[in-house]
Amino acid sequence: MGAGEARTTARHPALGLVEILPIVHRLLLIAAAALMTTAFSASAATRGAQPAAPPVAPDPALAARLFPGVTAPLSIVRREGTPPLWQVDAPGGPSGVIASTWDVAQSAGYSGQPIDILVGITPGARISGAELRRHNEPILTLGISTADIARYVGGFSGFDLTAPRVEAFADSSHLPPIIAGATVSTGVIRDAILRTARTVAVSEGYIRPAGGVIDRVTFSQRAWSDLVADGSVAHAAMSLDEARRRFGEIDDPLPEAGMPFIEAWIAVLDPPSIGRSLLGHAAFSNIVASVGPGDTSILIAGTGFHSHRGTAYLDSGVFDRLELIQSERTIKLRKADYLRIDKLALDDAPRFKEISVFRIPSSTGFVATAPFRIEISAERTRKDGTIATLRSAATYALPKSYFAAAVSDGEPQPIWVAAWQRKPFTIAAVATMIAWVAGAFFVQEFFVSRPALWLNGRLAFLAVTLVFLGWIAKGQLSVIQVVAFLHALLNGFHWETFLIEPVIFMLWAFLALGLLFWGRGVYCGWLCPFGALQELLNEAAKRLGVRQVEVPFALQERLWAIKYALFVAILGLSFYSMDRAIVLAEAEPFKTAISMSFLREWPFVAFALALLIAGLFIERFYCRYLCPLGAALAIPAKLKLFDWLHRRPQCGRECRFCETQCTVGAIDTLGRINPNECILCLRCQVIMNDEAQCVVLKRRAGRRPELNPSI
Amino acid sequence: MPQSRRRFIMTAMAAGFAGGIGLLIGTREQQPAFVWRGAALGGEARISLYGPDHDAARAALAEVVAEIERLEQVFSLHRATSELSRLNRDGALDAPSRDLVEVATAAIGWRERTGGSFDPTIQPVWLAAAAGKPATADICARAGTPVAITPSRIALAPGCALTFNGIAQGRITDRVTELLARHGFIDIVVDAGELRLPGRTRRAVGIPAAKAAVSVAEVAIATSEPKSLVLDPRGFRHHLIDPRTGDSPRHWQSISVFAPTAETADALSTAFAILPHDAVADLAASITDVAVIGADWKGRVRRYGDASMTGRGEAVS
Repeated sequence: MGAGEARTTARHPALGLVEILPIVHRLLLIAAAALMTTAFSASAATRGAQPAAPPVAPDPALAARLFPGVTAPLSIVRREGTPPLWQVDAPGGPSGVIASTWDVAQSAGYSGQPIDILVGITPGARISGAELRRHNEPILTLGISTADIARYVGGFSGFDLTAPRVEAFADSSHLPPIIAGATVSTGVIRDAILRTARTVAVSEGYIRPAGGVIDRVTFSQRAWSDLVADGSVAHAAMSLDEARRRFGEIDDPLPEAGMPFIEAWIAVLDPPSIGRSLLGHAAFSNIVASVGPGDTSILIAGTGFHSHRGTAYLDSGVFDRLELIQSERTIKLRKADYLRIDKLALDDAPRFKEISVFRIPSSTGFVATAPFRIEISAERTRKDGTIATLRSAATYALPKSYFAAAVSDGEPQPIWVAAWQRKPFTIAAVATMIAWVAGAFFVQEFFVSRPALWLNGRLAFLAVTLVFLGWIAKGQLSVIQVVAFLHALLNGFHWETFLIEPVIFMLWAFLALGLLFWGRGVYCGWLCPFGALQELLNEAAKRLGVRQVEVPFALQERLWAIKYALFVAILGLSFYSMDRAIVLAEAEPFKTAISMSFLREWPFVAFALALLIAGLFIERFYCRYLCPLGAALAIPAKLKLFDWLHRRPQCGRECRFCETQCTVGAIDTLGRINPNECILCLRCQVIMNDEAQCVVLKRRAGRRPELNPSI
Repeated sequence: MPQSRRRFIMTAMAAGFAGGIGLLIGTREQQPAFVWRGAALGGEARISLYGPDHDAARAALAEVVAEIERLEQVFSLHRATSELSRLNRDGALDAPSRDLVEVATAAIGWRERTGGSFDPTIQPVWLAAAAGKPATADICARAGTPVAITPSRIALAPGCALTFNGIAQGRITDRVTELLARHGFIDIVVDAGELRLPGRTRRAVGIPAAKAAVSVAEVAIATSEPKSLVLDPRGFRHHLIDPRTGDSPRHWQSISVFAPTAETADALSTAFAILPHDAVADLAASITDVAVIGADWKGRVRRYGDASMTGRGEAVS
């Protein structure tokens, strides 16, 4: 018999179903795909018919908390619109508005469930206060008191919305510090509050939108010649000769000479250096006071023969000779927005026949900082009865020197981008760890044929997993994330919610692939910090001579069921109440042992220690029987595409050594490896290739001299 | 040279000028520095600029796109929110733009001058013809004052609706020409529905009626052809409808009108297309600065009006 044949690895004979397996796999995949499709379409449907969970309306007491220092009684009036708001008025005048982050920003938390925070915004573009009304944040209810959240949310009061935009997560004295251990939720809250407040402040006209914004503060007295020279005042003109030529033979001839036919000067008055210089302090203040937020004032002053005002506006209310054109907008100037000025404040200005100031409401879509033109037209009846028209246009572009520094870039960068940019080292390190695990499995044969390399490599890796991935990078997955994912599928899935925590996202992304390739063991056996902690402690215990308890396989099989029951209980409970599901998920000691490094109330610590102590006698006690996350991952592990764990035909019949050595007791009495329980520590693979341990190899080595009697 | 030209073409294409509406194409010195293609009132628009300053051309053309968009918002019958659509729907429009007021005034003026062969109130008849209904005369055309125009309000007689499709493209062409002139582009070719060559440089323009090109400058040219939109091939109904009868007469295969502004050329080409040649001759003679080249139904080329406007009749090929 050739050595080659003996080395051929064989699947367990009882599995005689090898041919059927691919078909079963395919069916399972199809079923899974169908399930996903249903879940997605269901989620799309629910998103389409977004249940308009009405935000909690503020009562006077809450309004008083959101607007501290404002004298009661406050009147609160709901204003439906985009965005919907509550207008808050005090006896002394308007205090500001209250907006709901759910109304304005559809703020959804980690679970995809709404987060609703009421934010008070003052006309001075400041956040006067914020209060959390509703949330289902898994992580918030864990270990962090409601007072912490309230303090965090309340920390936004006084925030100046006109201040330069603060990078999400970046350390900033403007913003309350992030709650340790709840970065996801605090990020979501911060994003929701700032986005809502900015949106409302812009829509209410408290701050001007991004792009050039006029500096309405700086003032320096300018002369007419300076204003004309730098384009602060623009000019339109048409000579009498040209007008005569264009009109042709008209009934009422134009005068022979003297002045131009049309001559007009136009200016945007909003920058004080233009407006106040031209009009003087009193007139300028008068105009500024009568102009609404976002509106613009424009001056048109004429010296020519043809009046830009005419008289028709007195009856019709519309200035028929004037048109303001900006890009694709045609804006008519109205009598209601018109103010007559008799004289400019500047001595060196020309002697004007007529001076008009027009208010351009923001509702027209006019943007003072973008170029525009004003057309002045004239009409005459020709001798043949036809009507001749001509027009003169002045184009105007407000010089950039009057622009204030941009307030904020309108649409803020998604919060998760900042999260990824913030921790490049951690992300690179976790990516390296994942690459190592994947690499080890791809060169599995090389790895397992070197027992010393395997043992030391594995212990070192587990140490890194525990210390770096767990305690430093906080990369501990939790069953709550599985539940949150399923809820997100039903309530509207957003990548952003999951991308916000880079380490967790990377681990889940790898796990999704790993589940398909190998099974859940790639995570449980290598990247789970609590698993690493248990295994390292058990390894130490064994070296110190602690006797291990052998669990009979029949009992072992029945105890496995506990974790599945626990997972289903958590999942089921989550549909009733996320809060209670989270309490039940405290069966996971991850938060105590890893996220909070045992710095927690004593019952939690005692529970975690109890599990670890049990683990000293039964290796990975928690993993075997209790871990709901492991259960959640074991269910889809049925989908795995490859079976790269080798067995010998003799395994389970002639030899049951691996069964006794398996870290989690995943090998049954017939020598089969249960993929749902296997954590892919590769110990059985090492044994199988080690002549010092594998009974089959030992026996073969013993027989070898007989096969070669000549020696 | 070909190398850099290709690079320029690539750059222009990559720039995806004006939201992908148009496309800039670089060419040799003698040819336009830029040709912009887009659409105006459903028709193709094409603007050729001559000059070395590519940045200035880009800036100007960006404004042209906005200006065409603005005028579509005034004249388009395909936009429910345009001023004209609102006027037709509501029967009146307050605070109309100057462009609508002036074009409406001009259109009613041409209605008088042409004895009703051009009439903006043809819209209901046109809709009926487009729907395949039998020809009827324009009821509004018989009404004394179907439209009342003041600078602050335009009002229609009940049951009337306006179309400026026979004049607004000319208006847009003139407006675009005016805008480009403000940017210093005088020596250009503007085709925003109708053709206008405001510069002094003579250029060859193909006239379908003359089956030849003429060499012209400082002129606008509008051409009407029944075949460009045939409503019913058997009944010989096409888009040029006589408002007085509701029929589509077969006097001309193609008729081109030369005038100082595209608006005038546009309105007159619409009017002349449904008139017999002697009526065209009379009308052309009564209006100053207008010339006509037409090919009648038998293919005979006829010329009327101021011959100096049609490049003194000299054919360029």
